[in-house]
Parts: sequence; structure tokens; C-alpha cells
Amino acid sequence: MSAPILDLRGAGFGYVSNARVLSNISFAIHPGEVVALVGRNGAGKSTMLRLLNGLLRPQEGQVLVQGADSAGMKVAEISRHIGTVFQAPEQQIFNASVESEIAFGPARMGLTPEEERARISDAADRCGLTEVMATHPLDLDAARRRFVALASVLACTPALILLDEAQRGLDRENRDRLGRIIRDESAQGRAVLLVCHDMDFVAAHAARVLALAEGHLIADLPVADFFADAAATRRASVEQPGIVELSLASLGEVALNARAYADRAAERLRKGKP
Amino acid sequence: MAAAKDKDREKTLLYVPGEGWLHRLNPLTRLTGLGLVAVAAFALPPAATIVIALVATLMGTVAGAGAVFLRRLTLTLGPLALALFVVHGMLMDHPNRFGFLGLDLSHDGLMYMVKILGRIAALLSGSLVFVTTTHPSALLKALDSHGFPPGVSYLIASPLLLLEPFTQRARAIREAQMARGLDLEGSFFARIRAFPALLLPLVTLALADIDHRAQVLDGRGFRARPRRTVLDAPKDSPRQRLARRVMLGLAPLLIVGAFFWH
Repeated sequence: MSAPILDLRGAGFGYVSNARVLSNISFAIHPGEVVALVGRNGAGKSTMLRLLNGLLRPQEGQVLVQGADSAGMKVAEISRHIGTVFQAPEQQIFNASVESEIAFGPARMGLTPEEERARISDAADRCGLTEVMATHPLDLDAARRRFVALASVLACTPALILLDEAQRGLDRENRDRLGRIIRDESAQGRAVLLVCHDMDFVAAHAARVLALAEGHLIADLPVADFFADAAATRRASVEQPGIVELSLASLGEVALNARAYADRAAERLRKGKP
Repeated sequence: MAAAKDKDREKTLLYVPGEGWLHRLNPLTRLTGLGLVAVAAFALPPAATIVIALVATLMGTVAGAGAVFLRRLTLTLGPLALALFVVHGMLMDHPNRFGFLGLDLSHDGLMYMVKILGRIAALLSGSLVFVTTTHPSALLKALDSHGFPPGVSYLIASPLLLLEPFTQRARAIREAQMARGLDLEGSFFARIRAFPALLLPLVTLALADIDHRAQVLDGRGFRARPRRTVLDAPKDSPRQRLARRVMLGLAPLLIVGAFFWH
């Protein structure tokens, strides 16, 4: 396996000295992986995101970004490797047009004008923003604003993208668009970390789940194994997707989507199993 | 985590929890006191304003807010004193000049500096006594329970109420911009260049927020009735009511007196 983009080694953090919000967290994210970070409200997910993108520094252990200790890196340096799409895109939008907003990151990367234009155009196209490039981002609907924030990150081609509840409030078409972007990023060897309460979205797009509970990493499992682990899902306050519940109840194994469920059910019928 | 957030919130508000006599006063009594300090700061001569500032600082320290006072007074008055010293004490053409440590100073200019500093110190320390001992929600309840119309109560308390969400939003914007590569840890000039990226979303969102906040208040029937019922109104007493009346009576006397001693 290739070297990890992100490597946490016993990382811990607390806002006050005697209370750890995160303790002894260790995991790595490799190129091409799509990982979901799940856990109940207050489990430490937001703090974890801040540790990963350098806004907070671990008070114990290490966070390695592309092999280098993040303790010695500025947030701006880390942002070249790790891009973040926050829950409230309005908080990062300040340019007067969608185009200049997407150009904010690439303009700081020392690219040629052709490269920069190509990146902006590609990111806008993938996010469905080509028609609104001259519009003020705050004149767009909430879903498109989120895609503006995502496009501004995509245009920087970071090795890892952190998506904080990016799917929340999106309609079917926009969820599908987000799903396509996640798959494309993975196919191009970049990694995605989804912070997500929507387990249907996790089942559809993530390959691996990191579950947090009371500041500890309680599970680091392939997505099917995580949903099959009743104790872990309960501790993380996670509701299993309907298809997982159905497949566990009727087949005794996890199917992550309707097609997988139908295939397994058909196979059992062929083998004469009930 | 919740404790950390509570601590954060208190820092944002400058409010310092406490059980002392100053905290136990009805917020309206403290608000009236602040009004009297504001009038006195302009009406009284410089020596009196300095005494007011010292007394207010002492009160704040006794109330457990000594660190807040020290920080705010130093950060505000320090640079201001330096600027006034240079401009009025040295540069401006005030009379009564004298030499000191090789500097050409003006006695009248320095007196003017003391007068301005005294006023600002009195206003600032009086305001700090109020904000460090008064939680915005307690002020709102006190105003409502004394029959102020909800709109007026909200107008008076809103600067304090909005401080917290405004500061939190400013922090979130700062983090969001840093995470997308804005260098806020670099040189002074890099930070100056980054300023619009922080300020524009803050102002835009604040303006957008006004409409939203008004709709939410209307939607919750904020002004449906001329008075609001308060279940846990801050305690009041006949003595405090008398004190407030005395302070309200003193204010016009100070204004009239100012015409004589200035």
C-alpha cells in the first residue's frame, strides 16, 4: 500500500487541560480511500476535523501530513494537502463572483494562467456551476453555495478532502452529483473523509468507517463490518441504513444497497437456502 | 466539551460569574449607575473622572474581574495615552512649554491629555463593571419585568446579546479561510492583505442576519403583546429603587453643575 496522506499516531487534544476531547487516536488515510467519520453529537468529530486540517494541534501524539509532522507546518501549508469544506459555506465565501471564489485557492499555487483557468473550469463543470460563473455566490441557493465551496477546494487538488456534512440538505440530483465527485476523486488517487450522520450516504459512498465515542476511536472497520457490529453502531449512536437492517434480518449478512441485496437473495435461492 | 464551550462563551461576553453584592444588584441598578458614570465622565473635572475610574476598577476587581479590567484598560488606554502624549504633549502648539529629559513638552497639552484619558478611563471602567457583572439575559429579564416594551428591551440588550454569535462567527470565518490557504500566521503585511477575506463574509453575513433575526422574532410573536411575562425576574428591593431614583436625579444636577465648574 502507498504511503498514507494522513497518519495519526496516538493523537489527543483537550480544550481545557484536565479534560481530553480526543484521546489516543491512531489511524491512517491512504490515497484513493473514502472514509466516513461517524459518532454521536459531541463525540469529538469537529475537533478531529480541526486536528486534521491544522486548525488545532495535538497535545499528545502526532499528526503526520504526507509524512511530515503537522506540528511544524502552518495551516496554509497543510491546506495544500488537505482541503476542507465546512458545514456553512457562507463562512468561506467572500468574492463577488463564483469564478473568483473558485480561483481563490489556485491563484496562490504558482500555476500558469492556462493551468489555473483549466482547474477553475474543471471544478466548476464537475460542480454544475458553469452557467453561474459570473453570479455572486450569495445569490445562489444553499446547495449551489455548498458546491461553490467544494469547487474552490477541488480546484486546489488536495490529496485529501474533508467534507463536513456536505450531503446535508441536498436534493437527489445534488446528492448524486456529490457522490460522483467523491467517486472521481477516489479514482484519481485522492482521498475523501466524510463527516456524516447520514448512514445511507455512508453506505453508498464510503469504504471504511471510523467511529468516535466519548473521544475515543471505537471502530476502524470496512463499512459492511461496521454496520454488522451492533455494539459499535450503538455506541456511536448510528442508525443502520434500512437496506442493512433488512439484509441482516433476512439474510444474516450485510448488503449495502438494493442490488447487492437482490444478488445475495437470488444466490441463496439458487443454493436452496431459505 | 460543553464546559469548554461555556468557558468560551463567558470569555466572549466578558461576563464573569459571581455571587458578590455587585452581582446580586438588579441589572437596572447597574445600568442606571453606568448612565450616571457616563454623565459624570463629561460633567466632572479630570481629577474626579480619575477617581471614578479607580473606584470602578476596584469594584470590578472585588467582583472577580480583575484580569479583564487589567487587560482591557491596558490595551485601550496604553496606546491612547501614548498617542495623546505625542500629539498633545509634544507636537501640537499648546502654550506653557517646558523641557523634560530632552523633550519639548507643553503643560497645557499634558493637562488636555489627562482630561481626555480620565474621561475615557471612567467610561471604560464603568462599562466594564456593567458587562463583567451583568449577563445579557438577566438585563433583558430586568427590563421586561419593569414594564419596558419588548422592542426597547431588545434594543438595549441586543449589543450584548449579539456579541457572542458575532465573535463565534468571526472565529468560524477565520478558521474557514485559514483552512483554504489564507495565511494568517505570516508577516504583518500578509495579515493586512488577508483582512478583506475575513471582514467581507462577516459583514455580509451580519447584514443577511438582520433580516433573518427580525423574521424569527416576529415568527415567535416577540411583539404580539406590549408586555412580556418574566418567570424568574432578577431580585429588586425598595433600597435599589431609591438608589436608582437618586442616580437619575443626580444626572441632571451634574449637567447643570458642569456649566459652573468648566
